[in-house]
Amino acid sequence: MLENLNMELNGVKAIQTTIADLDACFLHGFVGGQHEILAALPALFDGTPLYPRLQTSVQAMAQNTFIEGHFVTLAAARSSLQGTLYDLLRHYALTALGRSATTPTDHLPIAPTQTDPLLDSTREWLMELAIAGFARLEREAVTSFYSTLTQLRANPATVSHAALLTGFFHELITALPVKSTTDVPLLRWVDLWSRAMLDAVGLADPPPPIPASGTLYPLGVELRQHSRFVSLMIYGVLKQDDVAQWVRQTWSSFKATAIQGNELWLMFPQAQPLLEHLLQGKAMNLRDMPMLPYGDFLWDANAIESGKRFKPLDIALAYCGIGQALFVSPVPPIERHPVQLAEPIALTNYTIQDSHLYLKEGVALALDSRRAGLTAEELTGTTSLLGLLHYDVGEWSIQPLLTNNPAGKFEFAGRAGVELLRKPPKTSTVSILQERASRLLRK
Amino acid sequence: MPQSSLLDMRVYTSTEKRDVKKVPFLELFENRLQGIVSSGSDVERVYVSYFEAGSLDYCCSTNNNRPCGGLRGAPCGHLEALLSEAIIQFGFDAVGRFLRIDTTQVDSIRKILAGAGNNTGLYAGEIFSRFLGDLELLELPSSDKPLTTMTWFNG
Repeated sequence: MLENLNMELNGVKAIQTTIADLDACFLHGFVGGQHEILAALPALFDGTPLYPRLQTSVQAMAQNTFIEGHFVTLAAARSSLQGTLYDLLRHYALTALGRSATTPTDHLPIAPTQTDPLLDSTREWLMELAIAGFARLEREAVTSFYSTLTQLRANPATVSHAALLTGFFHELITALPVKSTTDVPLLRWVDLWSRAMLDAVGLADPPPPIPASGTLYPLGVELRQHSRFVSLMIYGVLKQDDVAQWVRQTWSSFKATAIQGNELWLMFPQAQPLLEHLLQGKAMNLRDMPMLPYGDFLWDANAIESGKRFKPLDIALAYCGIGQALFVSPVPPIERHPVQLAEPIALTNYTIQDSHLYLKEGVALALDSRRAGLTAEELTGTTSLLGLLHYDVGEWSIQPLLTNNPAGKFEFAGRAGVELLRKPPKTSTVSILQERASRLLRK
Repeated sequence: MPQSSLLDMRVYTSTEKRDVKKVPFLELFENRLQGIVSSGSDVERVYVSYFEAGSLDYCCSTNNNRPCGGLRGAPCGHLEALLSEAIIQFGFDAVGRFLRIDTTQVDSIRKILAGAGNNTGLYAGEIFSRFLGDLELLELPSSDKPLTTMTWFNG
């Protein structure tokens, strides 16, 4: 089945080309000359709710009327193109993995219910970036956002906005002055721009959590980070009656820039009990754990009880192997983008060569070189693994999270960090800077 | 060749440990390698130090805007600490590239210091504000919600 991943993917290239055309407008800015590209957009959305809005915005922009609402339209159009790519690629992946694509949570509406003056300033700033163009950005156009950014960080309701915008802001500052257009990571920056613009439309009420009960098998961890923020994601399989579901718990924190490497794990003492179960290969019994509709827990330490020991690779193969009926939620529609594709996949009978995983069926999967995971070296001599299937730069890749070593013991990406958190040193970068912060900031 | 949505390399992680007691904050920012260096004798005092990219001109003063006594025609110990800690945090190549040094010739901290420019005598108080801004990040509330915006920041 997996050989289907090697097929030419119908429709993918056409959408990528449309996105690349639109992105070209962001390189030198909206100062004229984009009319042809923009004029071609509405036809693609004929019959969708976006169509009339796109018509209006494209016509206005052709007359050099630049108001922020038109840029929101472009962000919406681009995000729906990326969302369509996500759906298409996910369909290919699920077919190749022999998984059903039924998603009962697919049509939860998300509508902003609140505005916020900080989000108004955010959209304004993003519009100014687009008008200027990424290749022609001036420092002041970027730095003018700093005070809004610090205020966004202070509000827990906008932590997702602040995490993205802080990363984007510092990435832009570091890249300035842009010497050559080839230095602009255009796809990435327009991705970040579009997501930030759509998120800045307003604040939506979070969906209500549903209580989940059953057996949780923790199977992997991953850190995501930029210089000032870090997220820890813990993955597992939740067995509720006869249904096995792929689930996640995320914890995130802002950080001082000097906190790096394994010390990042020290930012997450609240994750220790769950990580301890991963380390020991011990299941957890959950009772009424709050879970969001897309498979994310909102961890409640009172909803757990230690369960039995289990063999992580056995569980991974039983539930995440090819053809196993694992239920994996897609991300919410507004967040869909190929970068969010992360289908769990457990494999045996492979060899590792040239940073690729070669399967018996003649399929080669690149080991993901951009995301943190087990390396080719760490996988040498192993016989089974659990990873996440991704799609980027026009190819499928796998980010290995868990494997078994020749001694029959399992190994997982991030173990060194988990072990550091388990026995935190008396002094660390985190404790030293926390102490400094309390001394200097309360003067 | 299709482009990537992700950063093309993982975050640089040193094998050597940063001494944050000594240098609690440093950054490659605007045109300077700049940071905060703790005083060896007084916990209340810190030094604000920087090197400019290109010229390698430098300055070091206390956070009360008094020139560092260690500056006698050459970078002081605080500036040396700033440089060596920056190399631990970002790597020699990244620091060299930022300072616009030819790292094929100038391949050690000693050589960088030997090629330093002049004392600018210009206190840069904003570095201290940026240090406080960095520490403030540690006081912000943490989150237990899914954050798919962080997917782009592959570590």
